[in-house]
Amino acid sequence: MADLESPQNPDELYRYRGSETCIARPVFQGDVFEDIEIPGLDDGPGLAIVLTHPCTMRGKYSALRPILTAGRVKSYREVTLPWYREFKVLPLPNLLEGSTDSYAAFFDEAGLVKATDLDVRRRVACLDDRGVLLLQQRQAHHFTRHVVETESLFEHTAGLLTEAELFEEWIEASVPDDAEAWLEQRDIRTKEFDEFIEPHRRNLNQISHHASVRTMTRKEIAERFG
Amino acid sequence: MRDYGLLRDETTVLDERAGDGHRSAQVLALEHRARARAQQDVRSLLDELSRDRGLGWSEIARLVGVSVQAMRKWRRGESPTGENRLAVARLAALVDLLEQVPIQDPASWLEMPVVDGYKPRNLDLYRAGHADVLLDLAGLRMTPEAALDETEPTWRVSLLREHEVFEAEDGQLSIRHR
Repeated sequence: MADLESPQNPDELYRYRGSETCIARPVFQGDVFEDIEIPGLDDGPGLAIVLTHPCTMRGKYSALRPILTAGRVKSYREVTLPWYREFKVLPLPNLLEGSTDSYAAFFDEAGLVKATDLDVRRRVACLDDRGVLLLQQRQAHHFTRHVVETESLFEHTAGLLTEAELFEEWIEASVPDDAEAWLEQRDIRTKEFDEFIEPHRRNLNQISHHASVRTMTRKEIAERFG
Repeated sequence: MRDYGLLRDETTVLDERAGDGHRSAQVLALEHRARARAQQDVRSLLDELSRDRGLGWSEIARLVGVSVQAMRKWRRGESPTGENRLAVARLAALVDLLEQVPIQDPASWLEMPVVDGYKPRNLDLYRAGHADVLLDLAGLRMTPEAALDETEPTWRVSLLREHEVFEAEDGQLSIRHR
């Protein structure tokens, strides 16, 4: 049977961290927010990670579903690489900017949160593709004791990862780099991108078509937003 | 019959020598082209890899060995280290050489599995430092199986994918055991 995997180095987990976290990035599985209450935990506001799978995260016109699953992120002992066991958590080393403290996402401390609470101004990190796949693998193992190799998780999720990346580029090109402007234009820009990408979603199910969808979308971005 | 045997031995040795020489020449060509490409502004290299070639930012980041966050800074005008600039240029050079082989769509080809049903994708060979093997594979000078035999001899067992992705009854992708 396949084994639970580890990153080659901690930095491989993250797409963005700290003040450089891109506000244009759509909320995605593996995003870490601060100051989030998770109903049912009764531990007050704290760090939380989005656990909802990206294929169930958005509804009509790519709008976020109103309720998402989030897991608590807490201080945790330093875990050396390669990770051994750690079945209940996803270790998150060097998560916070300017801190060498280690954290972990806890799968058994999770609950439902309102999407409106996941404000991009409170996002402190986004996992990169590799981090998202490691999260999915450990999360699935936690609930089923079954290990799926990350290559299969990638093939399954690749279309959504690519779409999120293109969505981010669309927003970055069309909205000033400012959280207020983004919040103001979020709905209209989300719908606009959804209408463009919808005819190409089937192609995103096949990795061999991703490059052509990317070039086409980037050309469209350049034409629309300069 | 003995003459044919000798001829065969000689051509085998010659084939190995030609293969080694060709590989070294390809790696040298990659380095020369990378040095030339490194003269370009890193932003234009990244634009070319993403906008014109269609590579994803996560793929570029992994192939260059940096984070998406670092590349975003370079796209906004921050300068990369000389080492990172050369790594971006080397990736652009690799894509040039793949196109000459010719691989019509290098970005798509890099994302494909080396052998269906097994874990590594073509870009993993590059990440693992096997650009020579990758270029031989692209040029049809070795089979995908031979490429994995050379880079990971236990691949048939250690790199086997136990699951497959399929379209479920609702039209969405799902995962199941092979």
